[in-house]
Amino acid sequence: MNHDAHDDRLPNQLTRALDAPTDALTLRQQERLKNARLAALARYDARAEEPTRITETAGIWLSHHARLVRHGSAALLVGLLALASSLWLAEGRLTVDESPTEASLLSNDLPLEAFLEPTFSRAVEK
Amino acid sequence: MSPRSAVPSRSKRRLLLAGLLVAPLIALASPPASPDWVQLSTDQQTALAPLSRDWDRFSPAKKQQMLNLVDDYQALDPAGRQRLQARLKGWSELTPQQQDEARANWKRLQALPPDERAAAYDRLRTLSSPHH
Repeated sequence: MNHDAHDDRLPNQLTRALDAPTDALTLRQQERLKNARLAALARYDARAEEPTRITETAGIWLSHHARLVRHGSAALLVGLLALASSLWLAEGRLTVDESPTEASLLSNDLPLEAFLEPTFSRAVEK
Repeated sequence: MSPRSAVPSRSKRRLLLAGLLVAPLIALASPPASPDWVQLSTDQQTALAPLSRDWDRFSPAKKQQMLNLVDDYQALDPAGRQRLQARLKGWSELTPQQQDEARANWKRLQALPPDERAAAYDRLRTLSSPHH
């Protein structure tokens, strides 16, 4: 048996069928295609009548506002960083380096007690 | 073969930017370092010598505060270094509130006009002398 000839016929048949112009279709085939198109359109119309699901609305909004979302995300990240920094500063975990002030204070010729209350205010407010 | 571009791709730039933004968060979330006295450099041990006996008991935050003084210490003249070291132990024993108060008052003093500042210095010297 010539298997090669048999195997070759099916792909060629499919190719010819797909390449064939539609006016080569039979009336029955054209009718079936038309009914399939009408059914697909009817399903589309029915779906369009249904209320949009939230996920679909969000997806459409995101796709239309991708740039805004990207920039908004960056702005949110910067805002969160600023908030975290201010909280850490308030907690004392993020401290301002006071060493220049401390070094000046500690190396001047007045004792430390002079800068504590009430001594300091008594001297300065006279 | 074309040479690899020196300009990072868009996705790599975004990754780098994200890393730069996140890295400080990670650093700040980590506890400060807490070196033992023997781990300090020679310069650090010299500057902070009055604290050598108490050092290992200090909290990491206090250690960092004292270590921050080392560079400023080294910028002082010999007399300034001597005065700083004479006050260092007392400074380390003040409460945080007292330290805040002292720093704020020092800044207040420096903000005075020169003649008022000189007069305030004299009064402070008098008030804080042992015989007063």
